[in-house]
Amino acid sequence: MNFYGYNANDKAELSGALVRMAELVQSPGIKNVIKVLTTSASQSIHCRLLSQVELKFNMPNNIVKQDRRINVNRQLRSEQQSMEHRSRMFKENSHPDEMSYDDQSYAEEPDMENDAEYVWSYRSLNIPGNADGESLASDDSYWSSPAEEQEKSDGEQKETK
Amino acid sequence: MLTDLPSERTLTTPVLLRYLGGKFPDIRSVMQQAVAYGRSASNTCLDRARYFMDNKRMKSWVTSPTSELLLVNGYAKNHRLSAMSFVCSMLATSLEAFGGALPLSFFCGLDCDQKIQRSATAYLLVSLLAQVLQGHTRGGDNTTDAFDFNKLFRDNENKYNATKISTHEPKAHCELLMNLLIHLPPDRPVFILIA
Repeated sequence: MNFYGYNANDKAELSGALVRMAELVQSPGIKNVIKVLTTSASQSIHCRLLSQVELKFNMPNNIVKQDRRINVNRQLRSEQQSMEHRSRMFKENSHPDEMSYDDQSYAEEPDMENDAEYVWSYRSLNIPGNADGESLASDDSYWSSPAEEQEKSDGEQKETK
Repeated sequence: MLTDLPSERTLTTPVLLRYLGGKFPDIRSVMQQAVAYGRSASNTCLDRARYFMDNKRMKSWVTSPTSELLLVNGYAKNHRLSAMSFVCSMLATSLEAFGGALPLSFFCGLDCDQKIQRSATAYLLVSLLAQVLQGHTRGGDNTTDAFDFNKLFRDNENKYNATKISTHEPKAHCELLMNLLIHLPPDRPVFILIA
């Protein structure tokens, strides 16, 4: 919802309607499957909806196809080939018992097709606000669910230990 | 008692559509505009759309068998269309082709026609209501209603009536919309996409 041509009253009224819709959709008495996807560029509407919504998604400002990462991958592959070559040479020039080369460690290729996080990564640009002049929360933790927050803090605790 | 209705028997889909204002945006044409925008959009916009569609959270929202509300911060600028408009139009088109689901969509930048004297909320809710009513009429024949409107209005007299609907009270529209949705067959999931 980009609020093109909407005034402040429209936004306030809309946020009320969306909150009401969220309450009704998520009320336990409803047996039908009703899914609502709403986008919003207004912080005030976000704030009102956030308490009603479990699923949040923060679209990155800009997504950069990681050509750099692919180049790094190519570089790694070339280093791997050169190591394999060196290892083979070493094997040929030494006794079999002296060295066992485990080439399994290089066997796994990254599954780039199925790993969107690998192929695509994003960097958030520091955009001060949206068209309304409202500053939007760009901190991912703002959007994390309580369970995600717990996982994060558990991970941090383990690291410190 | 439904005093403000001409007659209980006359409460059909066409009558209700008339109460809602009679003129509604052609949602197919609106969706085509959003799809066309996506096809000619910049690579950055397409990358963002693809990122969202590839995301596990999005896939889970689409496929899970429970009612869920997904709030997306799309970082839209004040343009009529955005990456999310493209995503929503593609999703609605796919769901429509699938047939089992009922997609209802609203595109603020395209649907908000300032010439029509309604509030933005009324416009959103009227558009969604019209899509439910038009999309769920049996065999396209308006004389056979899929909903028992008389019972629906009788049972929810305190929430909405013909007057509240025709004067575009957002609360009444919202309650009517949700009542219509819960009276759809349970095996027909509804997707409301607001971009």
